[in-house]
Amino acid sequence: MNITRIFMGMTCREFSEQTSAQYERHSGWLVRLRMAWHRLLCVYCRRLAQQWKAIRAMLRRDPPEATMPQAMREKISRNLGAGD
Amino acid sequence: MNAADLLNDHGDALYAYARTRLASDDDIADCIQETLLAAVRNADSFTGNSSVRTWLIGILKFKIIDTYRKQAREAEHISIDAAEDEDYFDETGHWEMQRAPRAWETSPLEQLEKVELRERLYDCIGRLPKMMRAAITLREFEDCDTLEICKQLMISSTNLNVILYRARMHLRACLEAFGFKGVAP
Repeated sequence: MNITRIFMGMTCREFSEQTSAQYERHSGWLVRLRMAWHRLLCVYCRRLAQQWKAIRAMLRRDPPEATMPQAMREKISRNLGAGD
Repeated sequence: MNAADLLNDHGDALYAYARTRLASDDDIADCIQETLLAAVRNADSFTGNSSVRTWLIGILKFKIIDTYRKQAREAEHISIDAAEDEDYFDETGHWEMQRAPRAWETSPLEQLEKVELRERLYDCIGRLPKMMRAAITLREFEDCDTLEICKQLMISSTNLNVILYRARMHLRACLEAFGFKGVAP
């Protein structure tokens, strides 16, 4: 165990893995405490957590409106006609 | 209920939904087509409790999950031991300065409002390997839980966690590569 890891609570790799894992399941209090400490000290991991949070929120929004390309519409229409 | 009319009235909405979840136009067209055919075949099961569009999107969702399942069977196996994320970190486990997250020009929450960012994000999802794309889509778009995703994709929960982690790392890095980076790190 290196000094940086002790001082920072965990490595940046561990922080990123734990942040992703927390979206799937709860972590124990000790892990959360180490993460909070690491996050306080590391600007990059703070950014990672914020940006992942924004990406998740974006993905969970309703899809933006879109128009089906004409070629696709015609293809589906043709196939539906053939299936009748 | 007629498939051609459904295509006419709801084609764009179905397309908007499918294009964020599938990368290939052929897959999108196949899923929409199968949705319309299934809707006509099962028109009796439409109770009118929801709108026709909501009902169609419900069918489309299952068609898309079927596509993921088929793709998962033929997808490349992602080893949980492969050190694919080594590039992001140095040997001590801290960020490589070149790959460390940079500050976005505006706050991540402000970025949410940017249509361009969402479009780029869909592009980035389309660039993920099939298994990663299926896993992240089921998790984030469809809000499926771990058990459900593992069942659909026939993978272990350990493997799923690794796949989701890598997908998230890739997506964030992909957005930066598209130019969503801002001031100095």
